[in-house]
Amino acid sequence: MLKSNQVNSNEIRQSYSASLLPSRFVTWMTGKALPEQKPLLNLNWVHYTLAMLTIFLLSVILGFYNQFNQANLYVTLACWAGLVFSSRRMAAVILHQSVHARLSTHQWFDRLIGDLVTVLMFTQDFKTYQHDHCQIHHAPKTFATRLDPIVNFFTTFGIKPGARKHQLYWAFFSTLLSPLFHLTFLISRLAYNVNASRPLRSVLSILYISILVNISFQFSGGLFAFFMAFFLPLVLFYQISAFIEICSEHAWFDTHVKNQNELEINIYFYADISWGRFCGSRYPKGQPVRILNWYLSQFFIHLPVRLFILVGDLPQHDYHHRHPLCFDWVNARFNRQAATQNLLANEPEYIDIWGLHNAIEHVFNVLASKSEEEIESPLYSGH
Amino acid sequence: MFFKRKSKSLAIDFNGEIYNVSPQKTILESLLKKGASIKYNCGSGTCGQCTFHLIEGAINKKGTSSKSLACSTYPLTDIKLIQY
Repeated sequence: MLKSNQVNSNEIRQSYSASLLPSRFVTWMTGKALPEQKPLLNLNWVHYTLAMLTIFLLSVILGFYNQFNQANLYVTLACWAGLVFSSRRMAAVILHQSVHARLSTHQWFDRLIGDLVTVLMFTQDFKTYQHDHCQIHHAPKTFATRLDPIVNFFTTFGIKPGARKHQLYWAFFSTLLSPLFHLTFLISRLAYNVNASRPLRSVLSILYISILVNISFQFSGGLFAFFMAFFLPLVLFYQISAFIEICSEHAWFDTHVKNQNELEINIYFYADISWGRFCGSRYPKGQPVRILNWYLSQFFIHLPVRLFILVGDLPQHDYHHRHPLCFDWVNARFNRQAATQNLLANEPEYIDIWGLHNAIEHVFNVLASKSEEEIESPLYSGH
Repeated sequence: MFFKRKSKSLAIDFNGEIYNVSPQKTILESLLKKGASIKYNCGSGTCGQCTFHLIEGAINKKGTSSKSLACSTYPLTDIKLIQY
């Protein structure tokens, strides 16, 4: 079964106690805290933002330096990892919280940070992202419908309702390596950064990229250093990570709500189409081969997913939709666990899915079960 | 003068329930803190979900929205609100 209730999910989390992995590490990696578990450190948005900016800048500087010298493979890989690790968190956590005005408590400062990180990553700017995310993605009549910018984005590449499941998986894997996908994504990023309607943003973006390109030419006589230290991790790998993440985020075109009027009054209209996405699986009993396989899957599947795809508070994305005003998003894994045990009046139970692949499978099951007529109904067309 | 002045509390009548709140916080933050069941979503004055109707009293709106949004509005006096 792909979706777990809280009893089953807590059992999966507790099964880790039989493994050799430390409990705190497991809580971070899986995204699921133990019942009553509290944060070890008192971290906040300042620590998080400074840490990500530092990792990002160090990875860029070291990446260029390495390319100008021996181009050591291990250093190159470490810099790529640092850039994907930090840039995905800058987008999915720092920018995301800033458009909700939930970063520093000061809206103008949140906007400044939001714009800073998007210039550094060369991605969608604060203002248009805030419109897409808050006004469309968070609004009941347009959330998870054809009008939702995320839906628009992946349907372009064949992740469409009504398609058969094997077609969805084919579209998914082929998109990850498709030059057309990467080019389209890059052009959209270019349009957000260099645009006549945003002159200051355009000047800053052009200046930033020009400096990086110029450094590459000055020290290596070509663009190869720029390609290796910046373009590859921040365009190719970043875009792959973002695409995989959105394909597992919500059950697009699916809600228990029956009509548009109910969408307006049911405050939990999103509850059954959002879930916790936890990076892990139940610790097996018995055979050493199964246990060995389990450890291999933790280190070579779930850990990389947590590092580079389900970053920050994305495993608890459903908690964000239920509590968008939570300032303590740094501790979302603990807050969500507490919330599952203290549901508000009429609040539906939380849904947990263990393993990113299972979340994608669930999304594709839903998409494959939809007919064209259903999608054209006002509930899913967003009109 | 060396002590932080304690701000006076105001009363919000929200859908018939009375809550004593601080004028320093948005109506949405205050009501959520008090456990009121208010409809909201983005929290940044964009999605329009926390729109309310002001029946009595005065408010201070921040932001550009023409609607009265609980996430970007502060009470200036005791107020009475309805959210459908």
